[in-house]
Amino acid sequence: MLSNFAMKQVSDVLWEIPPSYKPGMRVPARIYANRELLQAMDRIVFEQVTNVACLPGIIRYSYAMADAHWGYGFPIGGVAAFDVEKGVISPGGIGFDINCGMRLLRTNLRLGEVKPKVRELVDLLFQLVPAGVGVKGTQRFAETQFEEITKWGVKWCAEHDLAWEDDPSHVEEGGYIKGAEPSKVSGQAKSRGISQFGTLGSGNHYLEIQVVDPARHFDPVLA
Amino acid sequence: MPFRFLDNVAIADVAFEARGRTLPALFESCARALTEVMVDRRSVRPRRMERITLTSDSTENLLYDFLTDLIIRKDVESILFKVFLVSLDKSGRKLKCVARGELIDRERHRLRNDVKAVTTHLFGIKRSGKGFSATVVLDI
Repeated sequence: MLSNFAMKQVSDVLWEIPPSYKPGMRVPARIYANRELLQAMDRIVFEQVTNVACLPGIIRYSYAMADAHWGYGFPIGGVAAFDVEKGVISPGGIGFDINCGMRLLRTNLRLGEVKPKVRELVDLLFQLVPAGVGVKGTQRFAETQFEEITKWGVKWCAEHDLAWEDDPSHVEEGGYIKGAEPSKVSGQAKSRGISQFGTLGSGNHYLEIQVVDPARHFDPVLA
Repeated sequence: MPFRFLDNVAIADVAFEARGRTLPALFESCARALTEVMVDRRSVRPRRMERITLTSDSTENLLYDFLTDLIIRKDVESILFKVFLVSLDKSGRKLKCVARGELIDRERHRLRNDVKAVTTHLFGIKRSGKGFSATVVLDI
């Protein structure tokens, strides 16, 4: 861990490394972690988060979250924003999972109904949801459909009976990215991806059953 | 052992160091290591043969392209390979490989981690003792 001289404690869970720590730093680096997590972090996190602080156009701070660990240039768990005109675009800041995201599906089921059958539920999900190395979806799509599907996302699914009609209105940005241009995606990437539609994918992807406590809603109105 | 996994490198991904007396042997070691990340190679049968020909602008980039090609074949053709026979031309920038394996069988193959990509992080080939070594970090 950096010396007390190099790192300032802003709060119980926020630490700051000033620009004076390393030549080229344009902004301070801020790390969100309690003392225990901070002391357990790889030393390389501090080097990487301060390296990111040197990138052109960076705004306000170079951040590292509580789970920060050794990454590719950026620490994994690193966050940074850049000026649209003067800043850099860094795929390395995201890794290979560009546009990896999450979906929350709400059911009408209650804890009392689900808890006694959790094991059966998980086993059934494992059977029904394709996941893992070499997995393919239960539906087959032609490569010619790739551009339509990736351009319109959840909206396409709803139009083809693969989603509820009102699902797009419950998904961020209607379930598609405005201005998406799939013609820019290489043929090779399309070939790799087409068979993975309708699968959970593999690697670090996951599907969890969770229970929500209404008393702990971060944003009750949104929830 | 022609390769070993590096536990202290790239905590969220998989890193290995491979060795070979010659560059073709090094490429074969790397291919085996890559495969071992995805499947227990002992559970793969060499039933299907594919020929791979690649050209790149340097030997290091050729290795990168070769490993990437194997990952792409896994995704597009659903094939994993057990055996690799690699030859390089004198420049070290053109590769021919005969690879033997089979289509992924989720019932029979002892599958492990899916590999998404080869990264350039710490990637490199160097002379080592009487041969060569390579460090590769895989995104899983």
